[in-house]
Amino acid sequence: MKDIINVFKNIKTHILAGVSYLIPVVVVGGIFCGLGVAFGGTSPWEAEGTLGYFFFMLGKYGLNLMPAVIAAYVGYSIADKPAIAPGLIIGQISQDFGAGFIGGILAGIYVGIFVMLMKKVKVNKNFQALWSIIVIPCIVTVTGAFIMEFGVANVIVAFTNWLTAFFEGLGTGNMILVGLLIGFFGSIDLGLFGNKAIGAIPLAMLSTIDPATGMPVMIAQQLLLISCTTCAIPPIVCAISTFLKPKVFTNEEKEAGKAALFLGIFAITEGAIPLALSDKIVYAGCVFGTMVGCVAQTFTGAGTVVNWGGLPCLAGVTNIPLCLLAWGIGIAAGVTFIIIFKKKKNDVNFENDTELKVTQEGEEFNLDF
Amino acid sequence: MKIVAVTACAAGVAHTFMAAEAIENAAKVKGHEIKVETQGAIGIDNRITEDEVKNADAVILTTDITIRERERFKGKKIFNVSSTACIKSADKIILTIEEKING
Amino acid sequence: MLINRNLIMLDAEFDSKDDAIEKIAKLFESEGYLNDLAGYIQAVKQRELEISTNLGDGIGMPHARSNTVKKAGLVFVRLKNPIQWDGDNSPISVIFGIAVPESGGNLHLKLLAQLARNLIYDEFKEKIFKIENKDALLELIKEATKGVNE
Repeated sequence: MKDIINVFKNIKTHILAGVSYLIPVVVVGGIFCGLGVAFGGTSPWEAEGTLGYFFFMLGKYGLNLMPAVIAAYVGYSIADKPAIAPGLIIGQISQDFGAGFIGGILAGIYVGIFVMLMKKVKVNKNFQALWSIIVIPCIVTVTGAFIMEFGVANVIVAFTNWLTAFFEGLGTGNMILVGLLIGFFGSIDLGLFGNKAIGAIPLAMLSTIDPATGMPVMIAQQLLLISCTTCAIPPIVCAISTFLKPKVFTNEEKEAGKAALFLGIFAITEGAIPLALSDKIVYAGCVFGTMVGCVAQTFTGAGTVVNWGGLPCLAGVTNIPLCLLAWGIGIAAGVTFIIIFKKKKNDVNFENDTELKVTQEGEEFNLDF
Repeated sequence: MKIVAVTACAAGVAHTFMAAEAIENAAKVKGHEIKVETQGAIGIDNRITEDEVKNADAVILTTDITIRERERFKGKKIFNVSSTACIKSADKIILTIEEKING
Repeated sequence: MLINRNLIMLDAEFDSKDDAIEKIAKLFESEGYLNDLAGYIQAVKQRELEISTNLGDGIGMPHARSNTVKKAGLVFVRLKNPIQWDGDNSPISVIFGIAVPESGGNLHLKLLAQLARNLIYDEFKEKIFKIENKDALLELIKEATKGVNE
């Protein structure tokens, strides 16, 4: 139906609208995770009772809400209020079932379209309130939950598992390829599960102790550092890009950029989400920068035993200057990419001096900016 | 050139009329004949007749919401534009139409 | 009456677009133009999501047509300090807030339509910024909407 097609034509607008509601959640959640790490070391979730633990868990509550919030507001953008409840619930299911914010966005689109269609159904005036407040949300939620729990989540989790198995099978052979793959898969979802999945492999390997040093084998440490490299680069790349070329970023994005810098230092990759989700070029720059950084890291031979990125990671890095150099190279690469390729502000309204595009369908012409 | 246009937007209070005014001016300035129907909160105003459609060289329709009685324009050269585009760049739109019809 | 002296705010201080929308709505409410304050605010914000009401040159026109509105009304606000309206287009220093009922109120709608048409013209927009007092504004609006009859 035409309306469904229109939703997809405007999908970017809807996702942007959802993202704009999401930004404060990511910022608050991320900041407190960062503070948790700052105060509590690298495993603040283990040190119950400390300030670090308090902050970190608070942050985690925030970040855990992300799929719910984005599902709710993407749905809201498409279909207004009745979409919020189903969006929140199915988004939360997505979170619990491991489908993360990708599941959240899919949930939001599903909810939005379904609610939009159900709103078209003409109901008796007396029934109207009941229909909007109870019937629509219930039907949409229960169907969405079913699909998410028994279908979508599994697909996404299966993908994650496949990733893990793939890397395990890869061996230590071609390090550059490994660097590229880790960089790609670790950054592609901006911190949600990719880099946790990637990090799981070296983490598992850490249990293999090298008898000579009493420490985990060097290769495990190196892989861990490479996977941790994926954590800090995207948000720092985003942040620095907004500082160096502010003209192509909206005010909202610039604010998110400042937060992202802080988050990036503590390797809360999610800080990149508001910026990367809004613009393919920023997204690509993050992935590109991360891949470059990871490859650079493979050459340093440095490793770490700390399963976190950014500043905290340095506590356990074997060769700090080289590690920082690799990170710097990756960040520079990402920032350069974005500065070269991002020409326009992300703007749902258009600017006066852009060109008029004409497309033709039969006798009809579509004029767009 | 004879142009007919219909403008309509969701609330039908502001953009509908601003788009109409903008397109009207831009067309008149270039010496074209134009009639703009508005489908606003008041309803259909300045309705375009069958004859006017028949004689028109080009039809401009805004895309914000579905235009009522769109079938009137079947078979004509139709230009779909958003109301915001009309308001901000009516002259570019008229230019484009001139190119497509005459060029 | 589409507009009266109480619906005119000069030297207003708003923090943000949302703040502006809410305060304008409250003004409508206090003069009896709305059925549902929260509903009207929601409708205006929803409209903002659909289409930009930044008319350029510092003028914003948030509006909604909905059953949360009892009768058609126009609020005029001149801001002390400009505020951001939609990301990065020009900031706004003058706002026309509009409330339109779902149906009825045709005369007022025609007045509003005529006003909207005038906002295309730079000369008219310039005059708006020169408004010093409420009487001057009422005069300007009357002039812009003259010739409108039932």
